[in-house]
Amino acid sequence: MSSIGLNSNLYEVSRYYLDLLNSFVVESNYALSQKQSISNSDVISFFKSLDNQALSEPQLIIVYSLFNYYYKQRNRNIHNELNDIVSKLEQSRIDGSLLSSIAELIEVLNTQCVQSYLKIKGIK
Amino acid sequence: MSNLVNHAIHEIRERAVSLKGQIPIQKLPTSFHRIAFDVTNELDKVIQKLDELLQSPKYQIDENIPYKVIRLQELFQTLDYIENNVIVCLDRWMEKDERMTCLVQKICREIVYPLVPPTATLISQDYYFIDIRFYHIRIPLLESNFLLHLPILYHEICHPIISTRNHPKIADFQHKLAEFYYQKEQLLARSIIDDTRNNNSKFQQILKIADHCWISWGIEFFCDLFAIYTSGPAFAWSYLFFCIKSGSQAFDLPTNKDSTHPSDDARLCAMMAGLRLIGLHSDAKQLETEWKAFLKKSFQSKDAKYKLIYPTELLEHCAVFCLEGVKNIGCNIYNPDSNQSITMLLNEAWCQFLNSSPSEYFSWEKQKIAILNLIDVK
Repeated sequence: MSSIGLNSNLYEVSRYYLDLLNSFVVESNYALSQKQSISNSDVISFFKSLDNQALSEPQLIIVYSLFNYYYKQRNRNIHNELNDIVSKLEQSRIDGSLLSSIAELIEVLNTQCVQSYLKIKGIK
Repeated sequence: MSNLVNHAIHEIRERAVSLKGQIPIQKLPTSFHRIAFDVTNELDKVIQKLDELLQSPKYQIDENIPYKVIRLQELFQTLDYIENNVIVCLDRWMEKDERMTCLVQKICREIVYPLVPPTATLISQDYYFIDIRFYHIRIPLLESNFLLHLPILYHEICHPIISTRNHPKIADFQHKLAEFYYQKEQLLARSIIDDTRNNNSKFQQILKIADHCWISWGIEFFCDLFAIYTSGPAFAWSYLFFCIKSGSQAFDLPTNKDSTHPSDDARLCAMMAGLRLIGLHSDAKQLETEWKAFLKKSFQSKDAKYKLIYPTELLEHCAVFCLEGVKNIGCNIYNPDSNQSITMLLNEAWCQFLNSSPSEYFSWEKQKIAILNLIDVK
């Protein structure tokens, strides 16, 4: 009922996917430095789920909404952005450009986590 | 910078280890062992992840320092939360926490709640709320002495139904929320088109903000309606009186995308729609009469944009989708003729409160509270 309960929901959802994307970028950066390949099936699956018009999990809808708001503020189209990311992942084109695109979304989720956390603390 | 980050990791790690020793397992009853176990596991995970940040070669390369910092912040937030919101509750455990936990278990059994019942602690400084990570409800200190706001428990136990992943017993409820979000998108998209055509895009900005806010508002509406469908009009009365006492703005509109709670009027209208859907028309009418009377005396009025942000059609869709969700997961729908003793008592409390003198009501309530505390959940 209070703000804390609802922000706990938002924090947990944002944190879960922040973890997923953060881990992927860390692994990718390390793999690039060691000239190794990495598995990206979880991340591909996540981005493909997001771009699915018939989203059936409210957690994914929340994340989609956060990303959509971010892209709209910058006059970018979420479907084009997600298609671009999925395409590069499926072709295993893990390069600086792809990692920058994902880093943007990490920042979106991190910002949401911090905001929700501060509201849980009663600071904001 | 990397050295400073590593120092911070060491400091947090020391705190995590120390926190494990703070859990007072000897004084906790069996019903609190699960949360103590979960917290210990979570602290172990934090320590493991901190060790990874210190030792794994992945986190020592320059390119990954920013992501190491993000991970560190996340772990700090977890630790801070555990210390100040969970372990403090365990450290200050009292006998009445166990009695309140038993009441929550009883409520869950009555309504055929699909998940493990949460524990409860009377320690909240911010009304009722639920910690969905540790399945723990925090309640204001004196709530075990009164009946009228206990229906809020039914709202809180809905939050885990929305947030728990990969659980077959609640998937149908979550799908209904997703279907509602789809309806919301269609309806607000139409409103934006109409606004462009008829108003020269006068309300574009707020409609776009509202479109985003409805994602978190949807969660609150579904939790309100879950409470209505399982506890009946008692929840609506609890909320209406909370609005009257707390001075909240009935027709609040969002000013930015971070608005997490919908307006009080919209919430009550959705609750009334829910009551009508389960056949409680006279209760809905009585609530509407009281709410309108309060609004008339409170100098609050609706802005022209209000109906665009909270269209009646959308509130009614919400009530329908949520009811389908509650039925699909097998929860008992409130029935005034049922034998669910707690739910009946909470509704009877509001009936007594609204139709008796204050002294008669408080005397009645004291007797009922005394009985409630002795109820055996087995």
